[in-house]
Amino acid sequence: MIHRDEVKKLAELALLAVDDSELDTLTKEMDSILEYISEINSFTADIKNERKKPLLYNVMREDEVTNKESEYTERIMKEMPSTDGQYLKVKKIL
Amino acid sequence: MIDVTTLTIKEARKKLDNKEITSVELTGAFLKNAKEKNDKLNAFLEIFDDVLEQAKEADKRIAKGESYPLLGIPIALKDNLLVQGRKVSSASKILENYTATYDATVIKKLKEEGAVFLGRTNMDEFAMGTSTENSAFGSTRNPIDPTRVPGGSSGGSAVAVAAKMAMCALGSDTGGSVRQPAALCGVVGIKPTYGSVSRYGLMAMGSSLDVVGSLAKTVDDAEILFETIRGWDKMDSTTIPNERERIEKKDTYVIGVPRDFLTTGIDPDALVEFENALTKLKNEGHTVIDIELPTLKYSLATYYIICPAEVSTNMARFDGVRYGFHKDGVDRIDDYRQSRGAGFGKEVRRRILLGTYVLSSGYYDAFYNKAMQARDLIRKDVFEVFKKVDAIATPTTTSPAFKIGEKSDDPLALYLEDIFTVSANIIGTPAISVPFGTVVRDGVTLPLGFQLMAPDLGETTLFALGKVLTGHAQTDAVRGARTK
Repeated sequence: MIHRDEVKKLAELALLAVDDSELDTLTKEMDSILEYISEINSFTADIKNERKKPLLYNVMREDEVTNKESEYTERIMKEMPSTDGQYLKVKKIL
Repeated sequence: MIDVTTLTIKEARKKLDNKEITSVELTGAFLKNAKEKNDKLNAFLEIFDDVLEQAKEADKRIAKGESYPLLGIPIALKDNLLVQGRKVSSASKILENYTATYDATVIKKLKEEGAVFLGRTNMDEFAMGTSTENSAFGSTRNPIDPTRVPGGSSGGSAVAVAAKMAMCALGSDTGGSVRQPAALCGVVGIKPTYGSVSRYGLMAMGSSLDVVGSLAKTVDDAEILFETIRGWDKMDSTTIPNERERIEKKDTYVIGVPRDFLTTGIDPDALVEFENALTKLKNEGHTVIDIELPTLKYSLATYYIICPAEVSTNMARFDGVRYGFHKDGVDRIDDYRQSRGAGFGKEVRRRILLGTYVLSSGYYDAFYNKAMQARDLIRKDVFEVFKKVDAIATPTTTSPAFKIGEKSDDPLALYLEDIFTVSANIIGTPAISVPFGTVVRDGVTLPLGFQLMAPDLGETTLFALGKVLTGHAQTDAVRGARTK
């Protein structure tokens, strides 16, 4: 169902470094999983308009400030892999 | 002197309130077990160093006359629940040194009651797995037979309770991650209705499936813990409003058994025990009928499309830039690739790739869309059945705990472990696993789980029937743990 090259492409799309040596096993494993979940294609049903009440709905409310200024700043900055003063440091983007 | 680790939460509460014991004594007993047994079982990733100070604080509150169901009760926490200022890693290398910046809502509620946090328990990385072998920090072992898995992904929490390293524990259940380890370790596990417990501060795996559940020695204890953590939360828009009516307790129940679904793959001895449980329910005055649920067989395929899809989305936040593990690459984009490639374990990477596949434009209709349709239809069919029955019964798992390493090279075999548990997550309904019956394998008596699923907000039904079934089942599990 799935080829080595496709797995490689998926890894690129998902921004995931995958070692070439791992690709064969991964392809084999994904192939057997995809074969199993393809069972879903034997499922046929006309369920249009079946759903009367949506299970998910939007919850709208006014924006409100729930924390004091800088309440979390220090804690959050401490978790950053790389900082420069009060800034998060990243590699050049443009 | 009584062994306080055998007490139920209610019994301990009474003794604490009557000043027969202190939280320091109670907590100390569990802490001692936790420290002694953890080298062998690897249930805890971290045992907190301020446990007894927390217990002292609880004792002060008790002395002042305060009383809450969980005040001074020692609890273990799955490593995907945020406690401000404490490490939390989801058993992943990518968060190995991460410290939580705020409290999860369930943690806030437990703190208000004065529960004592013993430590954070091992799990499959980001809750992806059914054996706790996918932890970046080593497998957890089943206390009844340490050569076997405890189940997963809340394996550490189940072991902590079964081996009396904690009085009760929190876990999370996305496809069976509370119920399946509870079954394999001989304890009670409840996956409540989706949205009945806030997910704020629970690390997301499959956001439309995840719910925080409780694990305990007895149904009563699991109920107490659930009642403490449940409720609407402003911080989680998917929580159910408190005014929505819950299903009330009844004297007798009708239980449906989907016979067609139980034909293949179940260990014959386990099936005998399942029938014994049904007989017990009948003998206690409840009605057991056969039901048909032909769409149920699509549950697992549906689950393993929706879950990886949501995983691939949720895991996108881990990029090595704002927090967590960072590995340098040749440029900015390669930084992401390297950090994620080296930070995530095998199963997490596998699910990200699967999710990316089922959501990609060429396969979206064939997989994701189809799964969403199946999800609707399964729910509709199950609710049709719920017009006739109060609960649906199946075994929790097809067999007792398997050996460590037995299935670790076969991800599909591990996925099949979830066959009976995923339906409740797909539909959002509550389900419980209670210990019932045992089988002997290699001379060791292993516990089995009996699962009941009820309609939305039907936890009361599950607790009532669970109590009918377990009368003494907890002692089996405890006895099993004691022989080691």
